Amino acid sequence: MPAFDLIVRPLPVGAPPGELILDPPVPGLNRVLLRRLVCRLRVPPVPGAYDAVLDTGAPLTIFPRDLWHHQFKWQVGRDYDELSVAGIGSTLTGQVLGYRYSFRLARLRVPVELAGRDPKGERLRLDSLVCQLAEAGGPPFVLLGLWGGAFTSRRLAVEPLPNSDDISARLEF
Amino acid sequence: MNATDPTVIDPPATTTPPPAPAPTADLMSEPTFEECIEERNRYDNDLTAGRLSFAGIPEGHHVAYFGGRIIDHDADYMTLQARAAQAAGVHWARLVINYPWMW
Repeated sequence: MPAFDLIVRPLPVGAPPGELILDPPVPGLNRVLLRRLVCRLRVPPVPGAYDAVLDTGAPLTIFPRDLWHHQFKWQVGRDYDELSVAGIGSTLTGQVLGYRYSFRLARLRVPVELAGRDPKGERLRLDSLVCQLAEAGGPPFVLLGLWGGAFTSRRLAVEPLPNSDDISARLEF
Repeated sequence: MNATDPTVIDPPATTTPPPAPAPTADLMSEPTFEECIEERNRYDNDLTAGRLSFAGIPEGHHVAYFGGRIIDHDADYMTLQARAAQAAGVHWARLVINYPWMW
């Protein structure tokens, strides 16, 4: 089964980063780890790699305006189809991780490619991704949400590191 | 031709040619996806090891990283990318632009 290793990124809080030391510790637990799972993303032929946070708590994948509009220069009808919701229309309001924002619902015409830590490792191509194209005020990073193409038919494996309370993770597809 | 032939040139002490200098990456050239992943891996390694400090950077700013250090920050992604790339003398896609305040 193809897979790639995800980046287990500590949050930049605590010392060391992503580590909350308990004082006093409780039996069997002296720290709490703060981690996010990240993979690399690209949108050929746009150069560069971008981070995408895997978040099954987000209902849909979200692209910030800085990326989809300014960096990727996606245009409706060429790079995505704008989806209109019955009784609402095409501009919706979303809320995730404390961000409240308006977005357009879209199905991409361009493929998105995901990769893990290994530059020469497996790649996962997402076609026809259904996602939110956030306007200003949305999360300033890509979130890979549960529905729409990023997680369907995948397996997210999170394992303990040997002799550690830290974790490793991979995405199988 | 034999060993006494005056036209024979003694071989050098070592016949292994010196290694060619490693090709210098043109930092203004468009990087491959693999190069970008490697730079982002360096960022994550530095972050995990606690080698990066966000002290003094306003919360809400993106940071620009290249070559092992944070070189600039700004609230505006595109402004930061353009300014940092020019200051570092690299193609903009070689930078890691990250938003670290995901808490």
